[in-house]
Amino acid sequence: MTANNIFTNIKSIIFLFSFMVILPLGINAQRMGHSSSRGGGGRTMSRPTTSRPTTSRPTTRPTTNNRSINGGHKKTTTRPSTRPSTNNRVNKGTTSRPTTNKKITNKKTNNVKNSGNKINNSKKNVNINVNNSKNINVNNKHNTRVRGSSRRYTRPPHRYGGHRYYCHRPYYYHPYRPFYWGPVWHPWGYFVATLATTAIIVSIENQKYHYDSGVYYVSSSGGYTVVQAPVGATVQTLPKETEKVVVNETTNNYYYGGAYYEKSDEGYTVVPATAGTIVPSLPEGGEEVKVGDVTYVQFGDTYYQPIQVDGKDMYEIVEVKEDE
Amino acid sequence: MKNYSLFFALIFSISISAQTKKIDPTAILILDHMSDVIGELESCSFDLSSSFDTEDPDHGLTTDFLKSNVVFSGPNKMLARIEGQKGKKGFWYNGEQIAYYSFTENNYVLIDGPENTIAAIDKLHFDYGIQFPAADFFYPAFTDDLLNDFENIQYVGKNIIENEECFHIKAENDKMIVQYWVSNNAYRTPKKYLIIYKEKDNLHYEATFNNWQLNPEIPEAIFEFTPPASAKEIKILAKKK
Repeated sequence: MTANNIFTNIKSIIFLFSFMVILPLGINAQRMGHSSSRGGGGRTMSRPTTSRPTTSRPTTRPTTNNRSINGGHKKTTTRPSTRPSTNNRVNKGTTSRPTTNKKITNKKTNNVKNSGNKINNSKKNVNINVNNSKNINVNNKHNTRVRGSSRRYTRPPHRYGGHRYYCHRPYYYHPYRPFYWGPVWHPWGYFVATLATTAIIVSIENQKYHYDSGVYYVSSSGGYTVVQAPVGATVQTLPKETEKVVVNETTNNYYYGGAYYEKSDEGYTVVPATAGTIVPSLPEGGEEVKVGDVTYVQFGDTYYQPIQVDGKDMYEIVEVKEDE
Repeated sequence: MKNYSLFFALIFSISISAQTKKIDPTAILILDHMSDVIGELESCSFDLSSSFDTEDPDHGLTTDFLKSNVVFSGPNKMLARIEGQKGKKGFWYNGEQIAYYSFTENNYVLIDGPENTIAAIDKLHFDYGIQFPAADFFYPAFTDDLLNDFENIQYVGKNIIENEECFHIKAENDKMIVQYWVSNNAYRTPKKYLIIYKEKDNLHYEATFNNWQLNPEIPEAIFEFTPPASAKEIKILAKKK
């Protein structure tokens, strides 16, 4: 082998060495994507993880304090080799003591399921006038769908749990106090034995409704029960307390008793709520629900954000989108 | 000869890869000592003053401030009060139930509690997105979590924080830089920490501990939540699993 050949080979070694110096740094940088979980980022950093590698050899330090606020300090990861007191322990190589982290994580998963169900089942009865003995088979859910706003949102959404909650106006909390539209208005679930003679019949999707003074009823055993305004129903008149609410620059809705109407030549037709619409008051039947840092009023699929407009407490219909 | 070149390159690569994780044993000793003490506590309380950068929709980048008071007792009792620009809230955990009360909105939610405080903090964090002041320090495997998550943990030196001599430790990975200041006293209590989020425009989170009380006598009654007469119980929406 000539000196020239040796020189060439040394050059190729240096070249390859330089290449390999750079490459692993890049790869290592990507490795952090698999690091311990942090519950979606934020300011917490060291949540125990379900997928934490158990490559370390546990120390044999026992937990002696049952009253410890966190069960005692757990050390399972190999400490740096220069640490004198750790080396011996590490070399002992005990293998299979389960870590407290795992216990917590497993427990947590179970608790999540159970408690989640419990929480969801613990609905409060908010309809104080509801007669629960009258089970009527009417699906009101279809009237809590929300149509998207045609106006562009300039405010970033409130992000929570894989959803984005959009509003045009900032959150301003005020307690939910159901509004009563007058003596002839009744909240959903309200039962009456008889109807006024002014009631008319409105049929939607093979369901017969009785309409009187902005309120919709369905027949139930021995009387009539108030239900949500069925989308698609058209009536000729609305009560005088009906308010005009702005949907966008070109469209208004008419709002009464929690129902939204569009005006046409045929009369007033019940439509789904449109996101971004601001209403001055909400009927009975909603529930306040904490969604992250904010408290909305929820009616089925419709969320209302408490806001303030010119010093008055109001609500804006929230547009909820799922994260991609 | 080229075969040898590849072999040497591979060896160099492996050795360099192994060297990229820089863990300073002194830093780990200090953190272990701190976690040992915390792990042996039967009760404690502290105040925490924190600040964090946030993107305000109306005003752009701003800094928010929080003041918190936290009390732990035994394995399953906790009380935390947190007050900031977005209002004041409190958490009571009595071993069976977690009460989350908003002083500002005068409403509260009740959540079934898991069996211990760390699990309760985890539950609130993972299920409801609630972050607890300085919760990281109380995870039983605090140092291990750091060792797992950070490539670089260094002891920087001593520093004075609010007239207290502290050990300064820095941990870094590709997402964040975290600096801890641990009091140079017998208990090695945490004094301050600062997080810089590299991936989030270097946003800062900073928190300082004060008024540490170790193993104080704490009446159990303080962990029981009694809602004010006018307070309203509401629902809470769990995060999507």
